[in-house]
Amino acid sequence: MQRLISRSLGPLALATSVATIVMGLWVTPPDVVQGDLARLLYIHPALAWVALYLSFGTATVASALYLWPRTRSMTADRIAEAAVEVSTLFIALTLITGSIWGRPTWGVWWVWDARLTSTAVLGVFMLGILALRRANDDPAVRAKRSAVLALLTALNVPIVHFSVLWWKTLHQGATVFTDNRDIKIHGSMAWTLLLSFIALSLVFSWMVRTRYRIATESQSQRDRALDDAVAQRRQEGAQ
Amino acid sequence: MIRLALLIARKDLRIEWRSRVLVWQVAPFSVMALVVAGLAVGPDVAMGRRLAPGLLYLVTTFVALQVIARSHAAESSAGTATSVITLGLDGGAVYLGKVIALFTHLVIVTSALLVTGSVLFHIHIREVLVATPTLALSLAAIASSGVLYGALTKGSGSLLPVIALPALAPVLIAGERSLTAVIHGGPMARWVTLLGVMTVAYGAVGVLLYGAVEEN
Repeated sequence: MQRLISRSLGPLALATSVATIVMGLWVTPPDVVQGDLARLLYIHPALAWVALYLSFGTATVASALYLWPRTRSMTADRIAEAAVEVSTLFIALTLITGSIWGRPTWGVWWVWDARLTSTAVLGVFMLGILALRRANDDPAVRAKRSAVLALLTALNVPIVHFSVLWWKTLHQGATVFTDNRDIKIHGSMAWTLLLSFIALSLVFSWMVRTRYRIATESQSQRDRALDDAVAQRRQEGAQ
Repeated sequence: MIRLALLIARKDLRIEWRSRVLVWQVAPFSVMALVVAGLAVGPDVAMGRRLAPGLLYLVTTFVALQVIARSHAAESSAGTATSVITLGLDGGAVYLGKVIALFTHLVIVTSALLVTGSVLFHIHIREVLVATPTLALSLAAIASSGVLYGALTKGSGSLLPVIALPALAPVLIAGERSLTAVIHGGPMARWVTLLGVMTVAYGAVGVLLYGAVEEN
């Protein structure tokens, strides 16, 4: 069963992504106010969901599992690493799509809006975790330090989420999860938005799984190379 | 725990007192940085007063990075870091001690900055006094996070700004806004709350995780 899910992840991610593109570009009508520009919003919130919540949440949980002595394993560390890398990519895509939407809407590519700024700060945090990983050669030190930094970064996520409320902002308010439960999106537009969330969540899962397998295989290769070198040295000693 | 924390703080302060790098190098640098910032703003008094909170906090943030790096470098060069690890002391107490020491270092440097800033940017002494509690809270937030980031980047100092600056960004924003509120008016409670939450959150995480970071 696990194998079936694992194998079908890639095709499912691809199929739902293609379906989102078709629905977003051809099936849904243009927005009354924003026209075709609103089509960008079928992927932007889903990208932000993966970047800020799904992938970063995965990295945080995996880091916490690594730091907890009973659940400590290199599997948790590799999942955290994969999730941070994917999160960095999705944060960049969130900012880029937001910027493309913002240019015609606000008249500029970038504004010092609270949510934009906080997302960018979170992106720099992610780059910091990746830089910290590359600065430590010892796998145990690397895993522990990056896990602590990931948890510290988790402190920043509520600031990202609540910044819209704390600071005055230009950012568009919630469309689905509004305060008075008045959903502002309906019909094919709502279904396309939902589909994009499913598609990008599947893409995220596939990317993390693939990155995890690459990391595991790289480690196996390093271990094999080390075993070969030790065996060769022993052989030389015996001769 | 408190006794051990105070012992660690005393050790760090004593190392600094003997070298006097903070007084003779970091504090003069911070003053110079503020003077250079003043030159960039120009001689306009109104403009200077308007930008003063941002400039003060910007310089404070960059100087704080130097102080954090300095605090860890001083301990490494004196060989005391290894001794502290070998003793198997409570990580939380060591963390609190280092936060107290770093906070004291920051207070010294920021005092020099405040005096210079109030002269250069025409901030009245009354405004400085009103802003002092918020400033102290900002420094506490910087210290509680800075000790952790300093420990994480031990051995690779150039990484410190990369990972600490994003963490200090909320302190910079909240500090600047609260100082602006003191000088020019405006709401301040939410910024004080933000600084307080940051200090407590980083403090709690630090007490829990500092030992794990240092045991490597």
